[in-house]
Amino acid sequence: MNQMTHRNRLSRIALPLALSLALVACGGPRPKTGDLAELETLRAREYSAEIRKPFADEPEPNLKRLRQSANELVKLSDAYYELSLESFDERDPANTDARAKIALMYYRAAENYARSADARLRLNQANQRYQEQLSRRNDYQKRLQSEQELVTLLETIQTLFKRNEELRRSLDSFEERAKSESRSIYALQEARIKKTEAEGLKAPDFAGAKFGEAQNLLAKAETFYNDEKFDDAYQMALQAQEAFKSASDVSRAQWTEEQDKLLRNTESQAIYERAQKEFGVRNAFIDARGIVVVTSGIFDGRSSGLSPSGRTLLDKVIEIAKQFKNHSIVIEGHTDDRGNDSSNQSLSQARASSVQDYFLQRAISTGRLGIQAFGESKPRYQGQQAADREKNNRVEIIFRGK
Amino acid sequence: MKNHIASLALIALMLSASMAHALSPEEVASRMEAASGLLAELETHELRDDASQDISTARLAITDIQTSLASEMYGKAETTLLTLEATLKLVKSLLDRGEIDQLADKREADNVTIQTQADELQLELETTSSRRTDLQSQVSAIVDSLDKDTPAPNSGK
Repeated sequence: MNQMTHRNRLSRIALPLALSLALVACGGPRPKTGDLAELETLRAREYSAEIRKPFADEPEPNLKRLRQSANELVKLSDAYYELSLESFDERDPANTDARAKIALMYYRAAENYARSADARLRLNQANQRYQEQLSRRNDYQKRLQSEQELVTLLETIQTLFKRNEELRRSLDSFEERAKSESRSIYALQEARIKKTEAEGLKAPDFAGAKFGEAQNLLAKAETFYNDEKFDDAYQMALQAQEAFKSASDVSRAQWTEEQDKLLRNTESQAIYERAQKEFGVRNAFIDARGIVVVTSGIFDGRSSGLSPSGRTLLDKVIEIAKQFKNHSIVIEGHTDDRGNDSSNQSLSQARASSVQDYFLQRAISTGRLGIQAFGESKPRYQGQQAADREKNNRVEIIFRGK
Repeated sequence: MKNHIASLALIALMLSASMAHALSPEEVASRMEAASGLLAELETHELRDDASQDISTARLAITDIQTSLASEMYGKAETTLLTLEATLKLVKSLLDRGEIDQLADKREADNVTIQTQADELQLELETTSSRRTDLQSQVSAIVDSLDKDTPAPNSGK
């Protein structure tokens, strides 16, 4: 850069010097050299007008100040230039050079201020552009901030919606699971109840295979439940319910029969004990026919009419019959060996019928009652004494399990 | 206009003094002191390196003036003083110009920076606006779906 400046200066000085020498040689006007020549070159440049540009109407104070400085300095330069020319004309080289040097410096200073004014203008324009860009940037920044706030808000809303949806799904899932679990618990409970029922019906004894299968199904259902596979548990529990029900159905008939039997046995024992208590061991006993109660002396003589004491005795039998309803009653009529067989057979028949009628009068149902007549054919007492013979005039009442 | 006239008057005074070597030794000394103060001020300027040669010349000129005054070479002292004053004007103009150039350069650089920032913000704004529009659509869709799922009051009766 310095080299360039140096070259420029040399060219500016060398050219006028060469021209001056040429003019001297030719006998022309005396050439100007040094600072004066350089000054004249500068003054002749187009930029000189810029330096002298009027400033009074300049509205921008900084620009005005710079242009004013340029104006003042160029006027000083002009003044020294005039003085320098005068000295030149007076052939006073020392003053010519001194004044030209001062004029040149003032001119350069003026030019600097003119250039500064240009720079100031550039600065002002840059400032203006800066303000425009600053305003633009701030505007974008403000709008961006607003947009970002909106985006944040919308993202928050979206996140909340998503969370809400997740919670809803989770709740649905929980409800579904709770339903499924409740259903399986209920089904398992039902299956256990059915199992208890089946056990009550002795299904393990009467339908062992079916009961075992049902137990396996219930165990699987419980395993599914413990593994929280509630739907599987529910299905398996339903199958177990069916299996226990089936086992119960199979067992029920046998169980009923067994229970009836048991009941009958229990009643028979009770009847027997009660009869022995009421009628004594001689008149109450068990034989192949059932529980037998022997009632002697209940008729008036050799008739079929019941005596009052006979009725009292029969009332005790009727009381037993009413208490234990699961037994049928057979009334057997008997006579002693007096008279012929035919009349005794008829009498025994009449006696059995008489007792039956009495039972019917005392609300013993017809379905439970039956009669048989044996005449004198089945004497209970074998002696020939009148008392023994009288005891054979009897009715034997037999309780039989149904 | 008044300033203009005043400056012209000053020029005339300076020129008349310079032409006739009318300055007294005291005046020369006084103006030299003033010039010296100005030089000292300029020497502390941030951009002094840009005018180092002229500053050195001015410093030498002050010494020269002092020597001339001491030797009672008042004509030379005055001429050197006038040259010194012109030199200082030149130095000051150089520094002022450099300062303004620097300011203008800096502001133009700032312009580039802030324009870049503004451009980037504009781009970001466009992206964010687009994102906002998308989100709005998505949220609206969700709200619409919720409205459909939620039974209106007294509905279903």
